Amino acid sequence: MLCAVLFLAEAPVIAGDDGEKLPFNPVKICRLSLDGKPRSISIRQGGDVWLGYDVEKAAVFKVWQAPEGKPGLKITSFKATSAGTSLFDKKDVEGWQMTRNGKTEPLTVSYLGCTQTGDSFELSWELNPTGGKITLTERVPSTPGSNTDRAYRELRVESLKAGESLSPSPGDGNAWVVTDPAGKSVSSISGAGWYRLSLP
Amino acid sequence: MNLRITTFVLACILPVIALSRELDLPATDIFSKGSNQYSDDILEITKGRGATIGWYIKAKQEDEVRVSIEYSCAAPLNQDYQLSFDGIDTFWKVTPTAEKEFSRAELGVFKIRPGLPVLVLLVPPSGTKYKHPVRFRKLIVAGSKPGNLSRLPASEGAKGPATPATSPGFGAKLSGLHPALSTLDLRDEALTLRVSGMKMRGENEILFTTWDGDLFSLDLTAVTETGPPPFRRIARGLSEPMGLAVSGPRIFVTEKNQVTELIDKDNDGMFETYRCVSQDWPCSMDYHEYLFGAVVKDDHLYFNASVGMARRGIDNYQPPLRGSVIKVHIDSGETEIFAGGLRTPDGIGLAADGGILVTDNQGEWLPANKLIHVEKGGFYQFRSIPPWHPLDVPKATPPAVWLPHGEIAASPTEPFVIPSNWGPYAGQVLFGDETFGGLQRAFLEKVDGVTQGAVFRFSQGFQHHFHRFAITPDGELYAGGIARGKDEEFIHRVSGLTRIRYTGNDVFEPLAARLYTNGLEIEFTLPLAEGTGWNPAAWHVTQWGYQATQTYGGQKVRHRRTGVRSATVSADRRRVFLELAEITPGEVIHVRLAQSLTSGNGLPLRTGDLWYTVNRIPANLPGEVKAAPPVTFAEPKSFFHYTKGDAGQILFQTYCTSCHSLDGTKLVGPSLQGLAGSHLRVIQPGSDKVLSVMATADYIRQSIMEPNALLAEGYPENIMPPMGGILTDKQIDALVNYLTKEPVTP
Repeated sequence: MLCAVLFLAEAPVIAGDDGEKLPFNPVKICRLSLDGKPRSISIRQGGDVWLGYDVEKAAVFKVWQAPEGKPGLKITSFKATSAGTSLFDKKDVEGWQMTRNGKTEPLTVSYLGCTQTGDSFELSWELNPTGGKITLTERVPSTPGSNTDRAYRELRVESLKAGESLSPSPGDGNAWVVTDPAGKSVSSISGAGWYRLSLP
Repeated sequence: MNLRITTFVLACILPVIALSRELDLPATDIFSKGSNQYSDDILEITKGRGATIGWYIKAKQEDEVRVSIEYSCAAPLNQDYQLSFDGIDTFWKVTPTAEKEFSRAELGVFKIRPGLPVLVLLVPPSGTKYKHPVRFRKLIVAGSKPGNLSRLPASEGAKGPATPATSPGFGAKLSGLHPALSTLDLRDEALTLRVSGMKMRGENEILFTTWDGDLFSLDLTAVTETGPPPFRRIARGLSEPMGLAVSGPRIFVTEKNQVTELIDKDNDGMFETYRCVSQDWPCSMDYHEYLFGAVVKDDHLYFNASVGMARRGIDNYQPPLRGSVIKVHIDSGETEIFAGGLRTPDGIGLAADGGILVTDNQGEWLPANKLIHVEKGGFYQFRSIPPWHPLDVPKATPPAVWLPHGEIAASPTEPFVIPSNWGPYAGQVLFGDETFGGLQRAFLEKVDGVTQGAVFRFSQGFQHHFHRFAITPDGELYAGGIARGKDEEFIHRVSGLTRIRYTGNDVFEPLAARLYTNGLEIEFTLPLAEGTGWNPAAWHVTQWGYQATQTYGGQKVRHRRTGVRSATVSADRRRVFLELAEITPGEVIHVRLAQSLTSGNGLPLRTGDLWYTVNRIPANLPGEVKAAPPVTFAEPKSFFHYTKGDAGQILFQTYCTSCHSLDGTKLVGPSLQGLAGSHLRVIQPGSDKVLSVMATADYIRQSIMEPNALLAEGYPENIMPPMGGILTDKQIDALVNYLTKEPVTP
């Protein structure tokens, strides 16, 4: 229908606009379909790192660094294409795995939406194991991570019961390092509070 | 000589003619071959678009017939052929044969009825070009009764009745604004606002989304008659929003792949949360998968999911559940497929009776545009390849009103009910059109519980091509325009916002049409001049059906003149009952009114066409027929003018003027001013190679038949339909002849 090819640029100046204050500035957050995934979202962290979420899987499937001095996204109509150096790329990402009393539970995932507040961006999902309902919230700070982390995100899970834990699917590799709210490295999420997932 | 001897003698001298039970339907006598080629009496079918492989046959008596085909095909196809027999569809998986060796395959068994001709169509898959053609010789229709079946020549079967000469509003698109409307173009030259969703929030604020992903607010109390309107952007970053709904303080947007609620938790006027209400249906990366429109009813959001188009040329796959009306609870997100079988349903609105109205755009499986009064569980006939939509049934649910392509609509958009203070039009339905422009009007009635009605031309003369609407409590209409294509100047010109007010000026035109058991009653906005309207010759009535096919477009089926036995004017002279010789369920009745009709207060007739869709014929509801008073004879004898040789001009006005001007103005497509013999820059799809071609008759014909073959530079693929699927070969001849005349005048 209506299409154009362009690189993301700063949003146009529009009369009556609140300019930078208006949330969802496309130069920082892009809700178009990323790299062939119809339901996805791209979030910029720091000056040049982008995280690409598959919102149907509640998972990051791509992290990349924009070319120096250039945008990290190329836009054609409703399609966004990542541009730059790939730091993590798992197109067929599997997402989260739930374990209950040592057994893996099938999960259904429902995307609940996203919120931009101040310097961070939150996404949330409802995960439904058999007979349960868990809320997963991920926060992507807009500030860059430490020197050792190329990208990072924070994560909180509500309503996990005793004996239940959530971990990245083994099929997605072990790229992300998980640390608990106390800063201890862990292999799964089993309690409340903000966990941190970093990409070294 | 007695009878027995006569019979004996005749039997001796006449050759014995065995009456056949079979009827051949040859490839050599079809409506249109499209871009396929003949080899002797064999049609080598490589491409479906534009090919109308069809015949009319007649039966003297009802019978059961068996249809088979003689063909050869060296390789399997990835899609089936459609055989449509008098509206009943069956699908044929082509079995490969030995190279060039002809085989016979059974296609199905059907009932054939006596009476009106029966259309038989063999429809190749659309969109795909096959390297190995289906070499087609004939269909064979075999019944049980000798001499029962006969075939009409294609040239005769596809021939419609003579068309009276046209002028704006009478057989042709209107040229100006409705006299009872006034407009204000709310333009900020700095902005190109392709309005994709629009609703009122409160009494004085309009919200609208744009194709570019923004949400704007317009404070109506701050709008002045001059100067740019105070548009204020209040949200951004939406993904192809195509619908907006407001329910109290809550705002919902239908985006490319999800329904989203925009939330401003801290009440700072900005929406920091985009809540996903639902995305509980499949989608792909197809550009043509949209979520069109949004209305809230009983805490549920209703919107339309269009089908994809990108894979039609590959394997025609659709993600399941595309082409649906979807119903989502605004709190729980519980999602239900409310209806199916839609194609490009770019409009949804609430009907006066609280039902859901949807418009759909002509194309594959839609032989004309539609205004649909949606039935829960209804199936509106768009199909792709199996697995089909779960609501798919062999007999599709009919639209409330067919909107004949090019005549009254091309890309219809949001329907809405006319405000209560709009005089005689209150309670009727208006809808916009992204290509045709203007506003068209529909009157709906219920017959045996089924919604049907008539469509009328209403108004052109607007700056914008309207897509979405909002109505203030005072009955002011705000209409938002949108445009397709790549021409930025055109997009800027026809996109944007218009304020429309009803002025109450008297206008004389047909207002409504109601079906009776024996005819059609036409109501007017004003009384007719005394003594007029009684002459049946003042009403040119035709009738036709539509046949949906898997290829693009559709011709009128059994297009024929319908006799007007009598015309009876009511005592208040506001209504005329036309007693018709024939009314057929499932067909469209078109009435052209005589331009010489005037109102009692001397106003000329503004519009002279209406199209009534007959879904049901009321039982035991005869219209009143009275003898005409003698004053009838004061009316002129010749109400309609027929001119030989202007068929091409009429076709151009009907099918082409929505997108092509003849005066240099750029519309959706390039202007055809000075076309014949000119040199054009064209692009071969799939390459960036620019060629220069001369606009010869052959080039013009190819551009009509296969617009994608050589694209005019600057225009995208698939924006123009292949007219070979809509017009007959003869009509295309007439159009080419018209366009190669020098000079062409509109």
